[in-house]
Parts: sequence; C-alpha cells; structure tokens
Amino acid sequence: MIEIEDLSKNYGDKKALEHLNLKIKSGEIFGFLGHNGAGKSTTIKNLVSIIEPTSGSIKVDGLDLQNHRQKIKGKIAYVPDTPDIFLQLTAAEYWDLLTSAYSLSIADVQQRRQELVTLFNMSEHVDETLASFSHGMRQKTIIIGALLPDPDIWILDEPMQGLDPQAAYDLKQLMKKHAAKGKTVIFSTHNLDTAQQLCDELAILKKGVLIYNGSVQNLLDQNNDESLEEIYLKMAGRQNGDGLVDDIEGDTHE
Amino acid sequence: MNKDQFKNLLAVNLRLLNPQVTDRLRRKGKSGAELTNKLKMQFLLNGLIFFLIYGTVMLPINLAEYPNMFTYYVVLFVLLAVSQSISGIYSVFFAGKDLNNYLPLPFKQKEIFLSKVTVVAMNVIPFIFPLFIAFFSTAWHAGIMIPMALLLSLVAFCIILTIILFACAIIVFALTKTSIFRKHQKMVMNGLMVITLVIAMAGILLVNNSDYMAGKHQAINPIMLPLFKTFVEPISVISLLNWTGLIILLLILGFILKRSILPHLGSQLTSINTQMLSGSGKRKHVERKSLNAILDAYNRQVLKESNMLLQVLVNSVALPLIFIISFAFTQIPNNLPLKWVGVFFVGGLAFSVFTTNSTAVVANMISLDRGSLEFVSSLPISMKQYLKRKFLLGFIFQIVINLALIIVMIIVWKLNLYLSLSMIFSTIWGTYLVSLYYFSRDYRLRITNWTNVTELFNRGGGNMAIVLKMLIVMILSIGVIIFYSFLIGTGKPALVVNGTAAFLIIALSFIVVEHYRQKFWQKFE
Ligand SMILES: Nc1ncnc2c1ncn2[C@@H]1O[C@H](COP(=O)(O)OP(=O)(O)OP(=O)(O)O)[C@@H](O)[C@H]1O
Ligand SMILES: [Mg+2]
Repeated sequence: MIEIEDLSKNYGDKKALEHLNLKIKSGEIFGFLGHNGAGKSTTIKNLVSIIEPTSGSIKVDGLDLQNHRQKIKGKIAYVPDTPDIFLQLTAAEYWDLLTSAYSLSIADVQQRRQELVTLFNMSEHVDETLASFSHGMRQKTIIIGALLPDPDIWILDEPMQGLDPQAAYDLKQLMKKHAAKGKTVIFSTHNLDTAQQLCDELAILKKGVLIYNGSVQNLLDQNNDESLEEIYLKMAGRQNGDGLVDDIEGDTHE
Repeated sequence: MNKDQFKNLLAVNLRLLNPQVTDRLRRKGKSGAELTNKLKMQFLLNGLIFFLIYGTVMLPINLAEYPNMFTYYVVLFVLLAVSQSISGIYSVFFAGKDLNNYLPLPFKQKEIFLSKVTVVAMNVIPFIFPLFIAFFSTAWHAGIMIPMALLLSLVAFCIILTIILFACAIIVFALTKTSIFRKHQKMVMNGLMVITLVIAMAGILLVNNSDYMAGKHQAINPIMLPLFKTFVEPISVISLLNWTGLIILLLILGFILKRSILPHLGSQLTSINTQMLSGSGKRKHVERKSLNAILDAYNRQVLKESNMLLQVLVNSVALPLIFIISFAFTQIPNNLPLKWVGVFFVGGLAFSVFTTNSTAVVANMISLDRGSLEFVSSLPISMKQYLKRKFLLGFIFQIVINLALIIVMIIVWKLNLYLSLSMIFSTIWGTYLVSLYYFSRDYRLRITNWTNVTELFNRGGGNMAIVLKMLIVMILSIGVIIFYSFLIGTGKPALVVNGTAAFLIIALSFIVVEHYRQKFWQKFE
C-alpha cells in the first residue's frame, strides 16, 4: 500500500507537481497517463527516491519514505524512462551490480535470471556491453535487472518504449503476473490501449495536477459510447479547439 | 562558405565550451545573438587578463639576450600546443557524441570541420598564450616599437597556431585511417600519453640544467634561428625567409587538409564511431562477490572508455611545466639541515594543489557516470559508499601522477632523505585535500548530458579559470615559501617557526577535512 499525501514538487519557480493525493493498493497495476511534461516522471522519481518532494509525504506500508528510505528502497525496483545507464558494463555485470545492490547472492537469483534472459532473447548478449546494445536491448536488460530482486513494488517509466511487439507483449504478461502475486506494479505510458489492457486503476495528470483517479471501467462508464482515446483527449488535451493540426500550413515560407 | 551557417555552428559550440558561463548569462535573461556576443566578449576579456598576468611574469626576462630561454619557451609551448591539439581534436571529432548530430544536417563538411577546429583552438589558446608573450617580449627587448612588436608577435602566433592545428588534424585523421589504430585504438592513445610524459620529464630536466638556460648571448639553436631573428631583426633577409617558410608550410598543410581529409570527413567519422562502439562490445564475465569490487570494476571501466586520460595527463603534467620554469633560476641547495623539513612540506602541499585541476580524474568521476548516478539513488545502496568508491579511484589516480612528478623533481634536485620524505608525504596529503575539493565540486557542477570531455573540463570558469587558479596558487605559495624560508634561513628559532607552521597546517587540514565531511559526505547518509 502506497499513500501519497499532498505531494508537490517545484523545479525553481516551475510547479511540476501540485498537491497530489493518491492511494495505490498492493496487488494492483496502477497507470499514470498525461501529456508530455504533465508530471508523470516527477511523481515516479519521488517514489523511487531520486528526487525529494518540495512538500507532502509518501508512505509505503505505513512507513514514511523520508524516514525509512533505505528499507523502502529495498522493496522497490525501478525502470527509468531512458535506459542509457551503466553503458560501460556488460549485461551480466549490470545484473551482478543489481543483485549485489539488493543484498542478494548470485545463486539466489540464478534461476530467475536465466528464465528472464531466455524469455527476452538475450542469451547471446549477456557478455556484451550496454553501449553496444540497441535501445530495446538496453530496455530489456534493465527490466531483467529490476525483476531480479522480485520487488514488492515495481515501478516503470514508459517501459514499452522501443520494445518490439513480442517483448512488449511479454512485458505486459510479466506485469500482470507480478501483480497477481499480490505485488504492486506502477507504470506510466502514452499508450492508451496498454493502459486499458493492464490498469486496475488509473491516474491522469495535467500540468502537475491530478484530474482523474479511478478504474478504467469507471471512466468508460461515466462517458458512455466514447472510446478511451476520445475521453482522454477531452480531459487532458487542449481546450476548445485552438492549435489544431488542420491549422498548420503545409508550406515553409521563403 | 555559408557564413551564417558557420556563425550558427560557432555559436552552438561557444555554448558547449562554456556551459557554466552560458547558464549564468541565461539566468540573467540573455539569449540568442546577445548571449553569443557576451560569450565572445568574455573570451577576449580573458585574453586580456592573461596578457597582463603572463606579461608580468615573463616580460622582465630579456629573451632577446637569452636565446636559450627563447628556444626553451618556444619548444615547450609548441609541444604543449601539439599535445593539447591532438587530444582536443581527438576528443572533439572521435570521442564526442555530438558530431553525429551534425552529420545528418545539411551542413558542408568544411563548415563542421572549421567550427569544431575553432573550438579546439579556443581550448588550446589559454594554455599556449605565453608563446605570444615570449614573441612579444623578445621583440620588445630587442628594441622594436611596441605596436610593431605586438603586430609581429600576434601574426606569428596566429600562423604558428594554425599550422599546429592543421598538422595535428592531419596527424589524427591519418592515424585513425590506419589499420593499426583501428585494431589497437587504446594502445595508440596510450603511446601518445607516454610520449607526452616523456616530453614533460625531459622538460623538467632541461629547465633544471640552469647553466644552459642562464647563458647570456649564447649561439641560438640553428633551427630556432630564423624565428628568433624574426623578432630581433624583423627587417632582414632571414626574417623574410622565415615568413615565407611559415606561409608556404601553412598553404601546404591547408592543401593537404582540403584535398585528402575534408572530402572524406563524414564517412571517416561515421565509420570510426561505429567501429569504436562495436570494437569494445564483448567482455568475459568475471564473478565478483562484494559490491565494492563490482563498483570498482565499473569505475575502472568508465575511466577507460572516457577517452580523457590523455587530456588528464597533458593537463596535469605538461601544464605545470610552464610555471616550474620559474625555478630555473632558483638553485635548490640539496643538503639543507633538518630544520628545512617544514619548508619542503609546504612545497609539496603547494605542488599537489598546483598539479590537480578541473581536468583531473577525481574532478570528473561523478559526471562521467552520466545518468547512472540518478538511477543509483533509487537502489538500496548507500550513496556515500557509491561515491566513496569513485573518490578512491580518482584520488589514487591523481596520487600516482603527482608522486611520479615529485619523485622526478626529488631526483633532479638530489634532495636528501628527510627532505624527500617530507615532500612525498605532503604531496600525498595535499592531493587528498585538493581531491576533496574537486570531487565535491564535480558533484556540485555535475552535468550528465555532456557530449565530450572538453565540455566537462570547462565547467566553472573554463580553461581560463584553470590557468588563473594555477597562477594564483603559484604566486601565493611562492610567497608563503619565501617567507617561511626567510624565517628559517635568518636563524629564527627553528623549533618555534616549524612548530607554528605545523600547527597552521594541522589546523587548516582539520578545517578542510571537517568542512567536506559535514558539507559533502554527510549529505549522503
Ligand atoms: N530536472 C528538471 N529541472 C527543471 N524542470 C524539470 C526537470 N524535470 C522535469 N521538469 C519539469 O517538470 C514538469 C514535469 O516533467 P515530467 O518529466 O514529470 O513530465 P512527464 O509527465 O514525465 O512527461 P513525458 O511524457 O514527456 O515523459 C515539466 O514541465 C518539466 O519541464
Ligand atoms: Mg516522463
């Protein structure tokens, strides 16, 4: 159970997140939606201790994150929005680092690691550096790393980005399986279909403010006959039709 | 050439070259052409400051009378320029990532090349500015009118700098074409580093041969003769020959560049860049048990692939040589009694502060991590431990460089045992203190999206700041050392003087260590 209470984050004068209140239950897949710059990554980075909130608090299983950082970090695994980290390491070395960071022994995770490597087709690449990987391969490497400690809370920032359809499908299955074990999965996405397929619960952010929190079904019920895309664009999109694509003129002026 | 495009490229590069200054100006609301102009002004202003500072140090030396000094200066700074240019060109063209961003755009190869070489030039100039002063000083002492002397030395400086840059570009581009380089890229770069080091050592030995340096009106080295005469007797056949020679050389190099390098620039860069990525792709897995061992292995890997080692060596070894030349006229008595131990201790401290600058490994370890550092804060490991391992590696690296240099000096000065030990210990201690400063500075000024290491080195005040800091440290420490030597030498009670000095050093060290413990390390607990 994660309780976000009155969370705000400013970058200088810029308000990236304002008075966010959310409850995320265990065993749930929780999705963040919102336009570019809406505050999805900011919320996630607060959850994974990369940034500290300007005000407000986060509680995990009743423990305040501020005071129990080390303990809570041990329960969380994070997949960042860009997989360009630890490029100098080989995939195997990266997984060793993660294993060790979560105070596990290599033997503990041996089996899970093997299964995931096979699942994501990475067997041939374990001894190659992340620098030599494609975007999607890096993403897979980091996803595998995050699952090694079998975290209670798995947080992913736009995880489908750059994955091939097979890998994207596999990842979705993994997320479902993880939640089915009674664990929490939190992710952000721009893909409404993905959100519809996966999310038990949804939060939509707009310019740092929460504009919807509830189940996907609920949202669809409230707006009968409309697709999720139509509803979402109406809620999160631009106001009263200004700046439409049709207004853009095709020619560059000389 | 399209002038607007070149200007735009240059404007982008100016920002890259001075990230911090750019930031500061942006916060003041400057942007666009105004920002670019401010940056250019800053560069010129720095040049002026340099002229004044180096001028006060170097102008009193009558180079027209000490031809060997002239030779030494010219050779030293030309070598320095060569090693800086080679490492600069290499890092901008081959180790940087941003070039790939330009290649798909409809710029002409020549424009990309020139704008990038200009960046290298602007990076090299602060380090070899004394060459210009040396020319000017020679001409001035030879009785040439000041405006004429300025003009002569400026033109000569520009031509020589361009020749060096072109030659280095040809060397680097030709080198990267060879199959040896492609196969043994690391080895070739290491070879270049060793050469730099050897030059540096030779430089120290030469400076120390003060009989040779101080000889008045000696016959000048025949190779240097034409250049020397250019400033001493500007209107003479030999001077004219020298100008013709320089210009012909420039034209030849320009021609080679235009004919054999520029046309293949794009394809060569792309092929090398992909080569580099795939070349270092595979590594056998070694099982490491402890987190520290894993982190150490990672940090070593980061360092290896950053392509900054060459520049680190050039800057921490070759650069201080410029200033060590001042010692050429100081005879260091090598068998001083025990009471001098403190003076040498202070000397060692000053030396380590002097050779450690913002290009040191320890001053860049954190930024070399790029995005990984942010990710690590999400992991259940102590950030303090993570940073400590980085600090340790950077510190050890700097210790090795500084100790190597100090040992060469000890041998050259033939110091006795206790003076040597004093210098060795103080170098280690001084390196530790100054490493603390640079490590926390790296954290404070960290950038994770840099495109090449030059950008990292230029954080804070940039190149100019490095050299300025060195000058200040040098002037201050020479002042302190002279004062201290004076007290010891004039027979003041050594116990009292040394005791006071020891107390001051201990107190100062305590303050520094405690400061960084509280203000830096404690943040990560
Ligand atoms: N390091 C930073 N410094 C300053 N402002 C920042 C920083 N990181 C984010 N912001 C600002 O905070 C706001 C929210 O950004 P955030 O990254 O949370 O958006 P997002 O919802 O993840 O967007 P995207 O879909 O593009 O990933 C944006 O206005 C952004 O400009
Ligand atoms: Mg985001």
